[in-house]
Amino acid sequence: MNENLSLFDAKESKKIERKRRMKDFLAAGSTYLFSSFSLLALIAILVFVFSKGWNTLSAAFIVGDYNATLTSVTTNQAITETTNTFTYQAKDGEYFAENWGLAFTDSTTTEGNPIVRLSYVDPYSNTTSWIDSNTGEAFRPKVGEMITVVTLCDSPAENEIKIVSGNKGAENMAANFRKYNFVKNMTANVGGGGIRGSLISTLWMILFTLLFALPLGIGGAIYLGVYAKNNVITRTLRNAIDMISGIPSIIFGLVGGIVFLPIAAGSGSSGNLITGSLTMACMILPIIIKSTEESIRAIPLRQSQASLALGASQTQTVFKIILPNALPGILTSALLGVGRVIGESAALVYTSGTAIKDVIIPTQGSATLAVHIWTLMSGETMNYGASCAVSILILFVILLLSLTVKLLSLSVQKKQKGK
Amino acid sequence: MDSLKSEQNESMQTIFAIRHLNLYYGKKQALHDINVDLYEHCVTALIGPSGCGKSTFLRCLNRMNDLIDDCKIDGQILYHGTDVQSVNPILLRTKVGMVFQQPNPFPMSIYDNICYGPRCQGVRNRTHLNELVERSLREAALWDEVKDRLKTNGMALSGGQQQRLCIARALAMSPEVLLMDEPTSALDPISTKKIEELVMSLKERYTIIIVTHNLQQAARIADYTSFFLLGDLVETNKTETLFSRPSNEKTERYITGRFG
Ligand SMILES: Nc1ncnc2c1ncn2[C@@H]1O[C@H](COP(=O)(O)OP(=O)(O)OP(=O)(O)O)[C@@H](O)[C@H]1O
Ligand SMILES: [Mg+2]
Repeated sequence: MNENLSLFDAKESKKIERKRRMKDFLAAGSTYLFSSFSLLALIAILVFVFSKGWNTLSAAFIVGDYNATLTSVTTNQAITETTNTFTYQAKDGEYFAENWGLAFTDSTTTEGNPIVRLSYVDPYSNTTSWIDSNTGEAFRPKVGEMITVVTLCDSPAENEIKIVSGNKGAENMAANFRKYNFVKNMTANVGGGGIRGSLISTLWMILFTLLFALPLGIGGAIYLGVYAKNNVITRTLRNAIDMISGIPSIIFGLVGGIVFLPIAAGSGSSGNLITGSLTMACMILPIIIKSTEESIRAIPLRQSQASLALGASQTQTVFKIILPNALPGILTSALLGVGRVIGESAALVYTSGTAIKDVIIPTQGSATLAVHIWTLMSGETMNYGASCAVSILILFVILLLSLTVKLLSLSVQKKQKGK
Repeated sequence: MDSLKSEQNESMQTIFAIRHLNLYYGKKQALHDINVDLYEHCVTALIGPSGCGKSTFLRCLNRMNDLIDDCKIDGQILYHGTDVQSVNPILLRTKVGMVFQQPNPFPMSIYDNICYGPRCQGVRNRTHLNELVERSLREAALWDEVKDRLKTNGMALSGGQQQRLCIARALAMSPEVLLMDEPTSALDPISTKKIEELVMSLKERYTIIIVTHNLQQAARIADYTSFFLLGDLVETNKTETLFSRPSNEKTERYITGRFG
């Protein structure tokens, strides 16, 4: 009685209204706060990755070799003379040769040997007559290139010749370049740092993973969605599949390493693309089964009933009615799986190797893009530039994939609503 | 009554003979000891209140109940004297076609919808399929409306057209029997009338067993009518007899609208 009355009591109801508004405000406020946190995190990631990686990203970076190639350089008229003097604010660890406009730093090769790298090349540096003796084309030295050995001399008459090796350090190299005005010839490690190999091994990885996972996953989904009776075994199976998708990927890596590596014995202890993709297939199997089964269940029962009532067998119904209708779901699951493969590193470190290669052979170990980052960052010096450049690529592909998935599900919804 | 029975037996061939049919969904019994004969080239209507087992009974005739996990059947359903439980359900369903309450064309062209059944049986010959499509659509009184757009999606037709497409699709199998579960309950009066006319024209070539909630419809189109109540088959009779002089008091109460 009292409660009913209070609803009509103006003062009381105002109070209740105020309280309700307060609660609404708090709830809405915290919702916005928390969601803005996640937005902030996303923006932070993008800003960091783009600021660090954008400069490194280039066509040469994407299609280039990771390992530098040895190039020998000769000069146009046997010898180049430098006449200008250049200025450059050398940073810590950099040694500048003013007469050449070149700066050097100490570095290591991908094999870990000491080497001298060019860290600065003046835009007007007098190296115009340098010639790549393999191709016969002009050779313009670039930042990052490694000097293996160089022959310097005092004059075109070659009265005094000095051979400087790249493993003697940057300080020594710069001092000798300063001293001599002529370069007779040079051997340089050119290029390198590119990700073409890792890109290709990622593509192989995707292909093999889908090849293993799609037939198994679709088969499993058809079994669960069409044939399986609703009993204890089926329910246990479903729960198991749900649980698999929650297992951390590093555990997949460990178990994959133990189970699949012996199969690929002979290809080295770190596995190859096949063992890696077998592991990845196990990881994405639950995604494919779940998404496909869901889309099979979404097909109206009356469709398969109509088919069976027309004298079609269960198998004919599966292939003619159920699978074509479930195709968008299958495609979605495949795309989600591809996203997982592209982004995965932990499971692959033990199963397909961490070595970055330029020539990709599926029966040998090689790093995918995500593992490429792992390798770059686990060296002595962390290569943030290249890692972030790879990250930009990965983020871009993942974004594309999720957009495609969105569009797919939208078009399916439209189709279901429209008809 | 006796004279009527002998008259039936002389002129009509029994196509389905149901003997002591009991059906259980799990522990729940949905049909109790059903005994009935269904005659060739007749329209038999099944009437009764909702949940009395009409659809369940209909699904027994082409073994669609097989698809329900915990459905158990005992008794005999004799089709031309053979128990349907002993024949291949796929073969049975090519002879006993079915049309559902909701029009359910496949999301493919009108042409492919009609060819679906024959193709599943391995018919590939193009000219044969073309003939089949035209014949079935004509029989289902849909040919004139769709003959220019056989390639359009079956889902794009109106509800009434979709239902006639489903009938044509079933007829393409050249079945002997057509089971129809409330085929007009989702349709407007004009489409309903078209389908009723269609049913009456089809009975010369096919045997039709139709579930309906519309007593007028049963009275209009059916030769025989069976009245179900709570899983029991209360009465089967010639339609005029059942509606004018029902032999069971429950039937009378139902058709005069006093319960159900
Ligand atoms: N798949 C099923 N599993 C369990 N029980 C079912 C199933 N299908 C039907 N039943 C039950 O069997 C009984 C008969 O159902 P049925 O669908 O045959 O009735 P109906 O006469 O066709 O009703 P309506 O006129 O509403 O279509 C109902 O009590 C129903 O709840
Ligand atoms: Mg029903």
